Amino acid sequence: MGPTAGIGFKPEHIEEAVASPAAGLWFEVHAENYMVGGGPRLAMLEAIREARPLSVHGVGLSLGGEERVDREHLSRFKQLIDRFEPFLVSEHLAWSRIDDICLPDLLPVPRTRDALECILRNIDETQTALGRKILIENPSHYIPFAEHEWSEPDFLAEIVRRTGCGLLVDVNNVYVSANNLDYCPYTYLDSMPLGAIGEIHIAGHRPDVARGEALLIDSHDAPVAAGVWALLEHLLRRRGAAPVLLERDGAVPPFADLEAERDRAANILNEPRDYANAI
Amino acid sequence: MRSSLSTFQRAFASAIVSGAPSDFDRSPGFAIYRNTSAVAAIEALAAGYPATRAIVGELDFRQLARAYFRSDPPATPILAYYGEGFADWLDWRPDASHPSYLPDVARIDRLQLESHLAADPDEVDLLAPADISDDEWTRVAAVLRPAARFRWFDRPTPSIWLASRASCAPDQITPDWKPEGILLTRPGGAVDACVLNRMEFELLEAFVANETVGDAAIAIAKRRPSGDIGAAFRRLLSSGAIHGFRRKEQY
Repeated sequence: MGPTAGIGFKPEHIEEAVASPAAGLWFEVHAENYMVGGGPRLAMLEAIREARPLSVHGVGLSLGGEERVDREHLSRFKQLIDRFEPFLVSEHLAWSRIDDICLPDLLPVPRTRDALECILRNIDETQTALGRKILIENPSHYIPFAEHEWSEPDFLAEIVRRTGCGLLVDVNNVYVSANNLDYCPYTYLDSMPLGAIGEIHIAGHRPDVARGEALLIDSHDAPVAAGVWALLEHLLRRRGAAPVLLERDGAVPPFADLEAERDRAANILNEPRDYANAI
Repeated sequence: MRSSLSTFQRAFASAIVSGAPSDFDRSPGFAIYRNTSAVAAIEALAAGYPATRAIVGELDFRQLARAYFRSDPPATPILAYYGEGFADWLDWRPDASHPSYLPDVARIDRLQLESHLAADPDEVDLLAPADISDDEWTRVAAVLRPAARFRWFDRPTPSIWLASRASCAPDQITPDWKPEGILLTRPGGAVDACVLNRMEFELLEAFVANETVGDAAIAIAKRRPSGDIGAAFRRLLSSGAIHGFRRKEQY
């Protein structure tokens, strides 16, 4: 079986998730939600891992931070990876930690030479500690920076070239960022180093209450938008199949609804396509 | 040059945490970063402090949580642990509209969270009560489960907390106004809680101090001759707080 489609695991779906007969279904979890001593959370993750392949997605390593990766946090990350043996491990082109503050968000990295050096160092330290390659995800953007010295695809390509990491392309983030910062999402995708893409995320977004469609928010609380499905199909035509993950973190519907949305991604993956442009 | 990146990141984080207008607000999208961080921290705190939330109400709790985020933003990316100092913070920020026992309710919420997230007990060979002869108890120490948490209060905050946990409205909670302890354990998947009397609390304290069961029982019974030390011990046994027993020579 080639690459298949997965669902971001929500604890309220544990029973249906374990019992689902869907072919090729896999799950992804946020690493930090399971970095606890023990108890029901880890028991649930054991059950998921026993039933299905697992992907672990970090949100707190702050790889784009000026500071080095926190050794204690990295050690907890490694313990989780060693215990659950995920088939994919990913993090973000973002930062969240400065001094003693860890903001619960994926904050924007100015694509400068200084920032590149820090990111290369942090990814290298992470991959060395984990003893494996990680995938780096493009975050959503809400504000422009005059300081950028690279486009995001070129910056990511440089990171891939110098660290050997792979990429996780979130096409919803591409859609949201392109809308907010006024660039073409197709040109963005076409500029990506396609061979490095090891996973694709899809999710829903919503318009900002005050500014409407001019400012989209990567809210993960709605079904995947038509424009995002179109980007997914475009990327898969260009890249060829890669694991696709449906994320949903707010207004979480019944598992069957997520499964139906995930099946749509699985069907796109299964479509015979002309791979003339694929890697 | 590196310092320019840290200067930017420090200013960006400061603008998010303070909530005060900054140069970053020239971009309307900056509000998304500010909101996302605050909302995620508030939701994490709300998840960890359910009884505190029930007592002050959702709206008041969100205001408290927002103020707490401004004062004490998360220091770890593991949000489940966020709010370690919340009860102390409530102590020095008394609000006349909140009951004076609110910080202690928050302390018990925190104990519940710690119990919920604590490690599972090691699978080691421990003795069960049936393995211990009557004359051996002065040479045997109790091993508590990692999820066991207990604390003494000079008010009936444990009863108030338990009533709140059982969804009683704050004005329906009428405890006996006397000191109480609380014990939280996780013998199965969920956290169990019960009120402790002073004798039970002192026994648990002695177990943590690695006194033998017999020595602790004799000392406490002498201090509190009107109490029933046997009943206190049996209640702790049935609570699930004790993982097992070890002969002292095994240490």
